[in-house]
This record gives sequence, C-alpha cells and structure tokens, in this order.
Amino acid sequence: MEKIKKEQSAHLILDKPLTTKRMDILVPATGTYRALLARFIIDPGAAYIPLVNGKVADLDGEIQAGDEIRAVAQIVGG
Amino acid sequence: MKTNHGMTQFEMRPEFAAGKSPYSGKVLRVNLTNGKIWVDNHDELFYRKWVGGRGLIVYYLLKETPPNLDPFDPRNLLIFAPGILTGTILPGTGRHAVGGKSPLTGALASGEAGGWWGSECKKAGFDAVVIEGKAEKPVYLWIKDGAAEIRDASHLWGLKTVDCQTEIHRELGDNKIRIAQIGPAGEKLARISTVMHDISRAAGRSGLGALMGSKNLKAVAVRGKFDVDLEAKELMAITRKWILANYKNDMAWAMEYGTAGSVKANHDAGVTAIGNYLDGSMEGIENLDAVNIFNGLIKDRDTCNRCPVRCKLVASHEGDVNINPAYGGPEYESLAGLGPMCRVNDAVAVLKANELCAAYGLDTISTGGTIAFTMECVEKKLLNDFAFQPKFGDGDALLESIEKIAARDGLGDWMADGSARMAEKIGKGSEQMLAVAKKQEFPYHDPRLKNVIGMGYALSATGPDHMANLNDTFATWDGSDICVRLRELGMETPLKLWGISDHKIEAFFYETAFKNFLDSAVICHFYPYDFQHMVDAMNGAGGWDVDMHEIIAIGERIINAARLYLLREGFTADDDMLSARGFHATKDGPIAGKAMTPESLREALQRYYRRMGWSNDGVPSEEVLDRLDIIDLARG
Repeated sequence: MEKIKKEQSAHLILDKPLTTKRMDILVPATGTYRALLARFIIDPGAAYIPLVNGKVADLDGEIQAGDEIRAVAQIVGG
Repeated sequence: MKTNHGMTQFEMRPEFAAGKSPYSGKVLRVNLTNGKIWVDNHDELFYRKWVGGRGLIVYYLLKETPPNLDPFDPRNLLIFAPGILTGTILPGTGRHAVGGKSPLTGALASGEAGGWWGSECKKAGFDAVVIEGKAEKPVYLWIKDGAAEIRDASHLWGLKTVDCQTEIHRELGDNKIRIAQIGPAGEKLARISTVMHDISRAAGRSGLGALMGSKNLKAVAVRGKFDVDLEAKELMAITRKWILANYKNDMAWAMEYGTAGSVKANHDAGVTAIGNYLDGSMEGIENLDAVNIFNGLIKDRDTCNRCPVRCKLVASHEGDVNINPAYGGPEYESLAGLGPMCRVNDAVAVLKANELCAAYGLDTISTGGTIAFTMECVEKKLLNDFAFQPKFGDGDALLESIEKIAARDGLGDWMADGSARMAEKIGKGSEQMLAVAKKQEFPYHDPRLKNVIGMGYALSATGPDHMANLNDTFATWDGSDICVRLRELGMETPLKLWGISDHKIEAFFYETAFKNFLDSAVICHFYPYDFQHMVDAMNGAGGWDVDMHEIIAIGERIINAARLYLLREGFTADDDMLSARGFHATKDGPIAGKAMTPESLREALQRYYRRMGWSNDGVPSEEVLDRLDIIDLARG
C-alpha cells in the first residue's frame, strides 16, 4: 500500500466519546468530509458536526491538504 | 374556601376501571376560588383528535379562556396533561405536559416533564387536571384513585422542593405519592420559575411556576391504583420489543453520560452560547463535561417511568460546597446555561447552581440566560445603582444570583422576571444584549449555527424551544433519527447545514408536526421512534386505524391551534423574530463570522408561512383550519 505523502494528506482526529482513546491519523486529501467520516463513524442514530481547522464546515466540502478534521458528536436536546 | 374537607369521588368508566382502556375519559376540573371540583367527560374522538399533552392544553386555553387575560388573572388555566400514551408499556412514555398562558411570554406555555407524575396521574383516574381560580391561602391538591381534595398548604409555603415533598409524604403517609410542586421562586411569582415533579423534573419554561404560585397552589399530589391498558396490546408490544432489543446501541450516548455528555462537544462545535453570546470559546470547558465530572461528582443514575435508559444524572459532593443528591443532576441545557453562558467553568459551582434551581423551582435555561445578561450589564456598568455586581466567570456570584432571584432580593427582584423585562427597566441600549424571542431566553442550541432552529425559536408559540424543532446539525448527518424519519416520508437526505433552504423548511414542517405529536402523546424525544412506531402506538392504544398522514395532521392541528392562540393574545408576524444577539456573529471560535440577518430570517418565515397555508401576516387560512377540523375553535 502506497504511503500517504504528508503534503497531500489531512489529519483526522476522533476522540471521546467517539473512541475510548484519541485517534489521530493521516488520511489522503481527496473526497468530501462526509465520505471520509462515513468510513470511520458507523454508530446508528448518532450525528456529528465536522470541524475543519477549528471551524464548523459543510460536510460536502472537499478535503484540502493540511486540513485538521474533527468530528464532534452531537446529542439532542436536554 | 374550606380545605381538608374530604375527597370528592368520581365514578370511573367501567372499561378503564377494569384496566381495558388507556384513558379514563375524565379531565379533573378544580376551581380554587370557590373550591368546586368536577370532571369533564370526553369521548374517544377527543383523544384521537387532541391526543393529550400540548394538544389538550391548547384546546382548553382556546375554548375556555377569554382573550388577552393577564397571565396572573385567576381565570387563566393551569393544566397538567399526560398524553394518550403516558403510562403505557411503551418505553419513553413516562412524561406529561404542563401549560397555561405564560407569565413570561404572554403566549402559550407548554412544558413537558419526565419522571413518574404523569403516569401516576393517569393511574389515579384522570387524563388531565385543569385548574382555575385562586385560593385565598396556600393550598395543595390531593388526587387519589378517582377522587380529589383541596388541602391546606400554609405549612408548606416557603419550603424548598425536597422539604415540601418530604412533608406531603409524611402528612399523607405514603412515600410513593408523586408530587408536582413549585418552589419559593414560583411562590414569589418569578416569571422564570418552573413546576417541578419528583423534585428534579421540570416543566421548565415560560414561567409556569409563577402561574401556579399566582393561584396560591403549592403542589398537586397524585397516587393511583388503575392500570393504564391498551386496546390492541400486540401492536405496541412489537415496538416495545424492538426498542428493548436495540436501545443499548441506539441510545448508548444517553446511557453513558446522558445529555450532559455533550457539553464539551457542543462547545467545540459552536452549539453552546458563551458569555451571553459574545465569545467563541471558554477555557476550562472540559471541567463541565460529563466525561470528566462523572468520576468525581456524578454518583448515581436516575430514570423515568417505563424507561430502561436511565439518562438522568445524580450529582453529589461534600466539601466547602455541598451538593445534595436528592435534587438529581444536570442536563446539557442546565450545564450550558449556568456554565459557559456565564463563563463559569467551576464544576462544583455549576452543579450547585443546578441544585439551587431544582430547590427553588427555577428554569435553568432562563436563569442562566438572565444571569449572563446581568453579568454583561454589570461589565458595561449599566447596573451601578445595585450593591450586588455579579461578574462573568464568578461561581460564587452565580450562586448568589440564584439565591437573590428566588428571594426577589435587590437586583434579584429584577432578574426574577427574566432578561427582557430587565432590559425594559435598564434601557441604555441593553436590549441589544438580549438573547430572547417573545421575552423568553434562547436554549443553548445557537441559532447562528443552527439557522432553522433559530427560525423555530422565532416562530414558536411557546417561545424559543429547541425540542419541538428541527435540529440542523442532525438533519445534515444521514445516520440521525431525523434523517431516518425524513426518508420515511420520501424526502431526500441529508440536508445542507447553512441557511434555510426550501428543503429545510419542508423538513421543519414535518419534524415539528412529529414533535408536537410527541409532546401531546407525551413521549420522550430521545427515543429513536419514527412515524410508523407512532402509528402502531396510537392504534395499539385506541384500537384505531390511524396512519402516518393522521399523525402529521395531529401535529399540524396542534401547531395551528397554538398559532391561533398566539394571534388571539395579540401577537403578530412582527413578533416572529429573534432579539439582537441571535444575529451577532462572534469574532473567533468555530462559528466566527456566521449569523443570519433579520432580513434573511423574515424571508425564510414568508416561505414557511406559505408552506403552512398561512397568509403573509402568518395567519392560518380558513381552508387549513377547516381541513384540520379546528375552524370552530378559531371562531371562538
């Protein structure tokens, strides 16, 4: 498998309550945020807000090289 | 009026008494001015049409109250309304609604509470309790096994909620009696006060505690022996079996941390308002997240009738500040309002503030919003005439503010009526610092991120409400319950996040219809039920042939009836608007630079009015009212 080149990659960070341990991986900077997150988050009934470089982003936006992408879990109501 | 005069007994319908019906057909009526107690009898069609809960509340307000009443006029009604599904075998049905004309907004008040009170009310033989008049002295209402009595409450007046419950249990000799009550804040007519149930479950919004206090009614105690049964058990049993098999996966978030588990995530994603809507982030937010407070401050879990999820937290702490577990624990909204909204990141202070709100009977959302507004006024030196000067970030000032609100002491006397009325007294441009709609503080789902929720805040007949609404960030994620429901209707999902497209308005139409149905039936919004589950539940309950379109029509009927009530009480389309902070973008943080404009909101509202079949002035057409069979209510 071809190694992901840093200059063509983005950081994906998932942390609690999505995972028990923080997960920080390099992913290829291709496709949409929605498609990327759909690969890693499969919880039924859940919903997430994508943060790209600290700002709320449109899920259908294209991943750019160097992006730091977080998925923030949402809980309804309260 | 004489009190402690003995129970007035009513005969139950034989089917209900035999445990073969989900409703008794009886709404208990009480006039506190003259002590009269009677019942209204309703037939099956009434329950199929109005369902209970919010539906029943708006029906009674339109039918029986004269227009433009002062909310504290004894002719205003205070209504406790379980729903057709309350107390049935379906998980998530341990809820009921409380309503009347709101002392805070002057519009409809309809708040839903969990716990056991609603189920016990139905077991006591009544589908709802409608209270009018004003007692000469403090009283409480005692309802048991198809009978009711007005009792003296002079000795209960002034008690905090735990003490009041303990005393009623002692007096009536039964610790299983369920109690709805006001705390000292409701007694003092604080317009941000609540009706509390089982001590910690609030029908929180719109000042219902003040409405109850205006009637000199301290509590409504219920205990019952009747079974709430079903016409077609097997239909509801299917849904029950499905949810019991799946809730550990589908509701894992609720089982792990409850709604309090979203505090940091919501902060990080721009959902939570910070510093009265001025800031983009708050240092130390992780101190308040359930993920962190769980080990130290959360000592137990609690639940509601018929709910295996147990999402309610129980906080406890001993130290310089003690936190009494009898008052339960915080939800996300409480942590957000009393924490980041006031820039307080001290978990003990915020959990203590939550306890004080439960003890005094205050709405944590409006209390947090009002204190944050006050803190900004102090920062801007607009309240220099007062000795008490609460500052952002000061946990002690947060706690002292709540004490002063509950006692109407000094500045607390102004704060007790909410931030909008404070701004009227302060002037000096302070209205630009308000985060309200119809004088009620916004919940902590920021309309600058969630634009259609903002439209819902502006529109809602009950003032800004995050629950009977479409949650934008859920509608943008295909796996969410909302998207599942929208696809069930044939709608394309997911939705785009920003703005209010026609697609979003269509989704808002259906989702608010569904949730107004839930608030009438009355069912917990956290359960991942879809339309077909509710079809089966209704048909299981009544032995009916309800379909998905009828569920939608029930929700539409309740929204339109609430709109009629709003217009009748003098509101116009101009009141469908957010205050200034809803349009004020932050300079930094996850939603920096983002906000709707008043013009873009007005334009979206016009499209929503058209979708509803309303005029440009937001008035429902005769055609719509006729289709929904509420034309007679519209004509008075």
